[in-house]
Amino acid sequence: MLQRIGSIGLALHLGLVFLHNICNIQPPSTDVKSALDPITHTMQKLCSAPGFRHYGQLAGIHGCYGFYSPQVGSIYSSRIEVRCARTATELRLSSPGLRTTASKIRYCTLLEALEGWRSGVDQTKAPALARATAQSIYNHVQRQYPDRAIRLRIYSIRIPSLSELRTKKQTNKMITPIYEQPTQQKHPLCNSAHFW
Amino acid sequence: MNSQRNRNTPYATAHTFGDGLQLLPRGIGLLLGIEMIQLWADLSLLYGPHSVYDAALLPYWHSGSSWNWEELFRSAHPLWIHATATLYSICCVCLVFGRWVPYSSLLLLIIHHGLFMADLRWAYGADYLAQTGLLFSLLFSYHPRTDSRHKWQRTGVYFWQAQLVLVYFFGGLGKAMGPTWWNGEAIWKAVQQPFPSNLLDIPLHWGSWTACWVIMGIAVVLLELGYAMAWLGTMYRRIICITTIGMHVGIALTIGLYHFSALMIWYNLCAWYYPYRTQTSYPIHNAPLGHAAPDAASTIKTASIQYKERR
Repeated sequence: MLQRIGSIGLALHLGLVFLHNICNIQPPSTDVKSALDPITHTMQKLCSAPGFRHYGQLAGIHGCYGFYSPQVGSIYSSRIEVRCARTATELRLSSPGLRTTASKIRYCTLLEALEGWRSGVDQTKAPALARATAQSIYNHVQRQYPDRAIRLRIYSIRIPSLSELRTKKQTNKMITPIYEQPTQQKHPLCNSAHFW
Repeated sequence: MNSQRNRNTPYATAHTFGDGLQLLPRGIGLLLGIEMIQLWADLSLLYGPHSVYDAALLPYWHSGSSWNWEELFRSAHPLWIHATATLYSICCVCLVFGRWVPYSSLLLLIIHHGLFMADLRWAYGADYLAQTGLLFSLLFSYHPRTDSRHKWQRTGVYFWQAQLVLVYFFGGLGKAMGPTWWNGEAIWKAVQQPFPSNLLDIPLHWGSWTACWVIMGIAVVLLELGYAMAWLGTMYRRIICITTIGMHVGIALTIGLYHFSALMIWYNLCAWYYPYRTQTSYPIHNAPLGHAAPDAASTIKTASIQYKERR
């Protein structure tokens, strides 16, 4: 009897995995998307019911499994320059003091999660969360080096597509500054070779 | 060869269909333990009052579960973060050595949720999958001592396989929805991501071999969509298992996501590789596995320790 209940529970678990993922599917065309909208809306409501939501989080199934889908997202990077006026030295950091690879990978995903940075757009129009996060990182470094001048830059890294490489239109990774703290200055695009 | 070995070994080392699930927590414990050791030096930058992240922004990342550990960490002494990480590591060690597995799994499930799931700032794909693995460890990781428990564990293997089938199927379906995995652009962009510590850097001029990237992109989509074919039989299972492991080795080497890759390889081995056999009968008197008397092997009829391939 207990096993039967357990099996039903596990079947529900898999059903919930199915629902969460169906809700997050991005159909290829807007026609299909609009046709499926009522269904996905109902499913989303079901998934966000308190019981299902909490269970989903506890079981790690509340996200969807679309890793790198339907396409690989933009890639962001940060560089922090800590300048000491007295000794005229500059310390360059790629992350705000993180030392291990494991935490740097998580920091990368934090930057990626702030999707909405756009190059060539006024940084005041960047999403509030992205700007607040950059400000937060800046504040943290300033607390670490209170008597130094700090400059934080967030970059977007543009990888040349296969067709661009084939036609020699772009043959290097392009690093584009998209956010700067404390003030924004015009910077030319630079190749990755000059970045690191 | 196996039958020869089985004839001479007591039940303590018997290989059964459910062994994969029994071993699942050991691998999860090892991998989560290694990850925590790596994160240890930066814990105070990730959590608590000295975190990189301002407290005012926390609500944006809160996943909506009823408790938020980060708020507790912010108001408590920084030592609590390391105390929590120590408890996390102890649970990992217990899982690795197979001690108090259900309790350790439960505690680790709760702590892992608190550190990575309740607040999604520092979470990525591997954390979600680790959480699911811990849930299965909690439900199925014990030595079955009765027929009914044995059956329950076998049921668990099928559910674990189904879980992985859904993971890969929806991964593949999502990729198939866009054009970039079909024309090779996505896999090219993925391997060019500047994650730290990747072992193999793919030179940019390799991008001129478009056909290779197209084939690899399509192969990844088809592999993920067709992952369920592992249920069709031994040959399909081997092909799917080997190619999936190959894909994860590639992800580890080129993108540098070692933790994620190792976790998925372990999950695949536990689901499909571990002697995919079913026991045709059970020990006499349902003697507990692992507690057989020294002469148990001789008292068990030959037929009772024979295995057969399921397919």
